[in-house]
Amino acid sequence: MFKETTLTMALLTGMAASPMAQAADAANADTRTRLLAATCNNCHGPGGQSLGAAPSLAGQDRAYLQTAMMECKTGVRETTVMRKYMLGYTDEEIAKLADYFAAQK
Amino acid sequence: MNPNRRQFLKSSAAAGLSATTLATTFSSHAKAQKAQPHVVVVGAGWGGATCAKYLRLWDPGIRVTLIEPNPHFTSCPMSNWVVGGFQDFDYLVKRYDNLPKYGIQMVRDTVTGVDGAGQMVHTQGGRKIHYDRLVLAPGMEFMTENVEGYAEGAQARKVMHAFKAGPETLLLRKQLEAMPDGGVFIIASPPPPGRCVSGPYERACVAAHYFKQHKPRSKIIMLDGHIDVVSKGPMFKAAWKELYPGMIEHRPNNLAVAFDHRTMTVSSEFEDVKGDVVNIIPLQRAPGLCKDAGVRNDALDRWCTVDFTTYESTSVPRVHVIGDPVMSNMPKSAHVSNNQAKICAAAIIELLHDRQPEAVPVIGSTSYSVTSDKTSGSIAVVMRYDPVKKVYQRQPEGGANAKHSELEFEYGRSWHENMWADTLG
Repeated sequence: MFKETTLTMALLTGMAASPMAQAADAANADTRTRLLAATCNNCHGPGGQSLGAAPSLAGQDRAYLQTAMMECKTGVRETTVMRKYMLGYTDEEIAKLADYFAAQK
Repeated sequence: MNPNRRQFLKSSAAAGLSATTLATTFSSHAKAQKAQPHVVVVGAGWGGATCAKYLRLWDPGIRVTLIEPNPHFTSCPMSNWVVGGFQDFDYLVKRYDNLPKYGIQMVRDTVTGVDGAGQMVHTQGGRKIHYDRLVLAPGMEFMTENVEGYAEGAQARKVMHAFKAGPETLLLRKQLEAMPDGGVFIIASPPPPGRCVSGPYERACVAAHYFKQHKPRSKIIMLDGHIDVVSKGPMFKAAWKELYPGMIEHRPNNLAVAFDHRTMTVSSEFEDVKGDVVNIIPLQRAPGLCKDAGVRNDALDRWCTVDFTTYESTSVPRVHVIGDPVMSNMPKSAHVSNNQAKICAAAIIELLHDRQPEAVPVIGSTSYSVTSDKTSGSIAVVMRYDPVKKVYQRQPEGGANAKHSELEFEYGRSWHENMWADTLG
């Protein structure tokens, strides 16, 4: 179920972010959150826009993003690598990452 | 920026000098630098290209020059797909066309020297390029001298490392194709630290996948300089047993020290093993450029020690080092190089604006290894810098999954697409 959802999201949003859009979005975040979020780009695509099976994060609903990340952390959601990732971040950082990616276009 | 000049600018401003006076005080060159600091990045791989791109994304006021000798980017991750015959070599090659769109000046040249005191880079093409900050991202070089006979064997094309994606990747593939059924393929790998610790085990998988279909009587012998299959060990061992029973023999604590290409014999301290195809991955170190620049500064003259919040060398001010050459407890992987590049870029921006860089950076490291043309296993670790102990600490429960799966294969392929886009797109 989770896999299907992520694949669909990837198809819907599978476009590369333009350089200008990325620059404008980046300028609006505090630098620590921006740097933390940049770590997510490796798997979730530049600016959170995924080109593959990993879900896109850009422009998703803020509450949904936070809930999803927290469910990965607590193990409610079955994951391959995301639980390990979320355990490395504080709940406050996860909230800020949700803010950040919800604000991306 | 030169501290003396900065000091002078501050005191000039305090003394109420007008902009016009300043302009006449300094050469136009110096004035341009003040207006737009210049960062030079050496090497357009996973680290260097990412660093150049994020410097411009996060601060378009910085001038960025990226120096790279190769006309195209060739990916080491996924290069085992070519060894296994899952993909053509072209799959690994990407163009650098998008980077100039960020305002990065690409220079196709080879850096031959770094003058740290003069803040100048010298190139083979005769260029002398001044920098305010320099980022070295040159990957690694092999200590082939540690394997007696390796150089002669390589010249005769009887041995290759195939651990920098390129012609050797194809050479290895061709030799596996030409090998008779019932042949022996030797993979000799070094102990860490070195590039992509799981790469040799993945290579055994892709070769076994190919042999199973086309040369089922063949055998793979791994002469491993490490004490065990430490990276993704349970996953690899289970996959070998399940998919390729009896085909892969792993011999730990068996570092290759010599190779005779006339008899195709690899020697370790304990045994001599004869192979039909021989792949030796020698020990590695930070490239000679790092030594020349004075930043290859650890006790063994192998790696570069850096400040982990800025990746600035502990030896040469204003010279930063990212990726494989860095001495650390982090894996030497594409993912880590890309993440270090972002931390370094963010820190350089702060330093150029006389602000404090992020004190507690966080690094993520994910790597996928294929076990067949449909399955992969992963490792994921988050590392958080500890400013007191001055080391990146692994966060709880990071590590490898014990089982490979088709889902991980899909995520692995997705990882690669997104890494490419993040680094070069």
